This record gives sequence, structure tokens and C-alpha cells, in this order.
Amino acid sequence: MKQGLAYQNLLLAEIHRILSNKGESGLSESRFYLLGIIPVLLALPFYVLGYLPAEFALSILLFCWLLASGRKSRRMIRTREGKPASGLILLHSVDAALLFSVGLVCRYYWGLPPIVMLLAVAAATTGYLAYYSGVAFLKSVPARVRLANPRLIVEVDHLFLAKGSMWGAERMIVIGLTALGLLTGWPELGLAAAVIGGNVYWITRSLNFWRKAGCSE
Amino acid sequence: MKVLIIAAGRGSGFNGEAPKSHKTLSPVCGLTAIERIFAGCPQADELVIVTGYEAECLEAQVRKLLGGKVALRFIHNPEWERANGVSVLAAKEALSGEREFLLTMSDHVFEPALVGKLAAGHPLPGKCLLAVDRNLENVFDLDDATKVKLSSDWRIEQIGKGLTDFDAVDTGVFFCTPALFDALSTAIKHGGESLSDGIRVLCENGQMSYRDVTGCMWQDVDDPESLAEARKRVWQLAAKPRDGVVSRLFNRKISSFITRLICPLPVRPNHVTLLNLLLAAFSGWLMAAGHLLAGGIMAQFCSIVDGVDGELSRLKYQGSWFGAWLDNLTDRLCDWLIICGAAWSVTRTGGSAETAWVLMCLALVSNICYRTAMDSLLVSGALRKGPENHALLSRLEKWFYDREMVFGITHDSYLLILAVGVALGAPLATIGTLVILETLWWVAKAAQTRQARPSENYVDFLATNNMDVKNETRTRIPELAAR
Repeated sequence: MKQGLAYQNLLLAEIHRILSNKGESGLSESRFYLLGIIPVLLALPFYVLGYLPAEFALSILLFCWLLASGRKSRRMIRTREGKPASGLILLHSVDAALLFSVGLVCRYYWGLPPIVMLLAVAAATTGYLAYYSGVAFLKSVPARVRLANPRLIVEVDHLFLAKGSMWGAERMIVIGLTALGLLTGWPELGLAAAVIGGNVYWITRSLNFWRKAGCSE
Repeated sequence: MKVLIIAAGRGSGFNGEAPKSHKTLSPVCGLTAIERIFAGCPQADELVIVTGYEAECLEAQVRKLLGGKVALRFIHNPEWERANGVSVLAAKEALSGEREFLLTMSDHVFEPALVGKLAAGHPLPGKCLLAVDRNLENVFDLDDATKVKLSSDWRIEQIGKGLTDFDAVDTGVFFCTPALFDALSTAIKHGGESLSDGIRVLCENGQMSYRDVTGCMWQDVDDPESLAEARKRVWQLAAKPRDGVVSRLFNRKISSFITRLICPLPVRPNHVTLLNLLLAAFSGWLMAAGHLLAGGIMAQFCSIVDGVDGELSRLKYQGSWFGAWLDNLTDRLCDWLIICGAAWSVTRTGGSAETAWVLMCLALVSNICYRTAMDSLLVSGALRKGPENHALLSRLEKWFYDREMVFGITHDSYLLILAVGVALGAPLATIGTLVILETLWWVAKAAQTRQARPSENYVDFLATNNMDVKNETRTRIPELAAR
């Protein structure tokens, strides 16, 4: 049977592999950190020459937040120390607040059309939904699987709390692309790319997981 | 493991009333009796079905229902009108190579936990096991039940319908060895043709043991009354052990009605989950378009429909990890769609677009904080424990929990407050209130669990909460951990 205990144990082992695979998550994270740093360096001369407007400050803020929170995450992954509740709340509330701020600034400071606000809301919810897709994986672990693997479930829980996400790169995609849009002077395009990129990323990763596990319904 | 199912009888107790074709195919809450038996035996890799009355019709129907899900083997017993021991004996050849097999009647409905308990201890070589229920008050028709007298050394002393001194009743589910066939042959030689006669021979030889499955759901379906009782008992299994206050007191009453209506249809729980997402989008649109009363009603309807997928999955054994994952995600999306619609409805009640956007952002951020505080602390569940907390919040939660309710700004209570507020034309005040309540709640929860530490062992967690395996499977761990 597809939903047999042995099969579900394999799913849990696959989650453990994803969470503990430094090669996979670490590499993709570091790639996106580069994506965050390189544009800042490239944009700097343009800003100095006066070709870039004040959006630069906001994008710098986004990149700095991304890098600062990422550093903390990497330390926690190394030490396998779970994030405290307050840390996680701060992380996600600041992510959402920053993205909403981008929308509000674009709409009411620069006078962009209302769609930009809608895109900001979509980007903020996309970032959180991508994180929540990982939470949902662990929240819905069947009781008999938890009982059959008491040690592994604890390990998976610790790993998830340490890593703060199942897939690894969703925050970099959403916040990074929004900041990139601001940097290049097309905030609405940046937000749209963040929404599309973020959703495609977590949906693809989730579906790949279920397909690989042979469980998509 | 092979499962031997005796489906040879006519089902004379129905007197031509109920099953139109065969009593094995009687519908019990969306599944036929035979499908329930298959669902009740998750370890089954082959069903060996002994047929007799309307054999061809039964075989065709069972192949249609279970073909492709499990290996099926049909054995026709031409002497099906004789007692059921003869039908069991007809399967001797098919099961002669088996070390052990499960035996049940096709008209017995039971839950998987019963077989799990029975199969937990393999019978000793040559010994058979019978699942017995000691809770005699719970037996639907005690006069008609097969009674069992138990000994202190786990043996069965006596079995029969006419016993006056007995300790338990026979649930109709056995874990057998081929020794049963020899016992039946002996019983038939002495004039006893029923399965109970064969069991009696095993008892006399000290080869029959029992396993207590008291507390597990089972029901013998012999007539329309017992069929109705079986449906009632199966329905009770579908109830969620812990619900939010609003769900327990209001939503479940309507969602269970909807579930009863749709359970005979080929609707899967995931279909309902996705339908609920569409309903939430529609509710959000109604609110945003200014139809506040309709939007509020639709939001509350979403909250009700949210319970249907879970009920359906428990009722028809269609629950899956994927389904639970999808349900968790769509719950968040539904909340957000309704929040966005409600926030935008402020523009229809005299508020400006600026107010609406700011309100939407505040409501979403507070919802994100709340969900992070509630879910991220627990994640896979029950991994954190702290010293006993006697704070007011803990005492309140415990009071509700003891009454099988979950307390807090949960999904159901959030949507009810939002729906009522918007329907009454006060979206701004309602969302503002919800933002304050949610913020207070997640701050309190975060403070409450500040001292909690990840548990090193999940089994320890269960032990400290006085839970056994059965309770664990019926209880939502996150709520327990939050206590």
C-alpha cells in the first residue's frame, strides 16, 4: 500500500535527508547570497554617478536584512541549535513588514499604480507560504510514523528549527528579487518576479518531493 | 499477511430488506462492509474470500471495488447453506502453506486499531488468537453475541452463544494458524459444523488464546438494526478528538451533516480541500465587492467546510500525509484571502484605500506572527516540554482541553469573529480587534513557552503526558504540547 508505514518512514527519511543535506541547501543558499551581494556591488557605481534614485536605500535595507538574518541562520545550522520562538517571529514579521513597506512606499511615495501594493502583499504571503509549506510537512507527519521513529522525528524537528526552512532559498528569492527590482528602477517588475519566482520555487520543490516519493494524488 | 473472509451466508437477518445484492456489500458510511474489512487490515497482502450465496455477483462486485488494491482469491463453497465452519474449511487448501492468517466474517465491521492490537502478538505455533471485548455494556445485541469464558493464563475456557457465565464476547476477528482446519475437521466429525464448534475443539486442546481489544470499534452486521448501529459507531470514529471552541459547539454540527450527505459520493477529501479554497476566494471577493453580509456568511461557511475534508478522510480511510499537508497550506491561504477581502471592504464602508492597505498589512503581519508562534514552536509536534506552568493562560487552556476543545484565536474562532464583524458592516473595528487579540495571544504564547526545551525523546514526551499509543493516534499532539 502506498500509505503503508514503511513507505511513510521513507518519506520521513527523505525529509531528514533534505534538511541535513548541507550540499543541497547550503550551496543553493550561498548562490543566492551571491545574487544578493553582486547586484549591490554592480549598482554602486551607478548610484555614485547619480543614475540610481532613492530606491537604492530601500534595496540596501532589504539586502542587509537578508544577509544579517542569513548569517544567524548559518550559525544555527552549524550548531544545530533551534531558533527560539521570538527569533522566528521576528524573522517572518520583519520579512513581511519590509515587503509591505516596499509596496506602501511605491504606491504612496512614488505614486505607482495600486497593483504594486497588491504585488507587495502577494510577495509577503508568498515568502511566508514557502516557509509554511515546510512547517506543514512536519505538522502533518502521521502519528504512527512519529511513534515508529521517535529519535528521527526529534532530529528532523531540531534540523528544521535550526535551518528555519525546508527548502532553503525562498527568502533569498522573494526578498532578493524585490530588492533587485528596486535597484534597477522597476519595483513592480521586481515584486512580480518575486511572487512568481517564490511560488514556482516552493511549489516545484514540494511537488518534486511528493513525486519522488510517489505520493502525489 | 493473508486474510480469510467468510462471505458465503445469505444474510437472512435482513429478511430481504436491506442489502439489495449481498450483505457484504452493505454500505456503511460511504464504504461497503468488505471495503471496511480491507481498510481495517492494513497488513493484508491477499484476501481469500469464501463465497456461496450469489457467488458470481459478489465476486464481480468485490473485484470492481478492490481489484488492483490487493490480491484477491475467491473460493466457492457449494455447501454454503451449512454452518460457517464448513465455509472456513473450504479455504484449507488455499491457506495450508501459511504460518498464520487473519480470519473474519464478511459482516463484521471493525477499525484498523483492532487488528493492530490482535496482530501485535503472533500466536504461538499451533495456537490461535481471538479478539475479545470485555466491555459487555457496549455490546449492541448481547443475547445474539458469542460469549467467551476466559482463564487467567490467557486461554479461552469456553465459547458459545448460550453461555451464562462469561467474561467477554467474541468480536469475530481471529488470528489463526492452520491448526484451526484440523480442529474444524474434528468438530464436523462429531456433528458440530460452526466455527464456534471448531474453536471449542481448540479450547479443549489448550490451543486457543485471546487478546483483549476492549475500546476498539467493532460491530456484527446481521440485520437492519445492527447495520444502523455499525453506521453510528463508524461515524463516531470520524469525530475529531480535539477541536476549537467554535468548531466543537457550532461548525461540527453542520459539517457532519454535509459529510453524511457527500460520503456516498466519489468525492475525495482533497477535492473538498480545494473546493474550500475556491469558497474562500469567493468570500474574499464578495467582501471586497461590498457584499458584506453575503461575504460574512460565505466566510463562516468556509470555516464549516474546512471540517468536512478531515471527517471524510477519517470516515473513508482516505487520509494521507499529502492530504494533511495540503489542508494545512490551504487553511493559511483561505485565511489570507478572507482577511484581504475583509480589509478591502473597509473602502465600501467609508474608509479610504490607504486605510484598507494598512489594515490588510497589519492583519497579515499579526496573522503571520501568530502562526509562527503557534506552529513553529511545535513543528512536528510534542518536541518541547517545560516545567508545569500554572499561569492563567495554561489553566484556561487546560479547562478547555479537558472538555475536548482547543482554546485561543484558532482558525475557527478567527473566521467566526471576522465573518460576524464584516456581515454586521464593521470590518475596520473587527480587523482592528482581531489584530489586537492575535498579538496579545502570540505574545502570551511565546512568553509561556520561552522556558521550553526540545524533548530529546518523543517516547519520553508521551510517558510524561500519560499517553499510550492508542491515545496518541487519536489526539492532536500540538495541542497537548501547548498545555
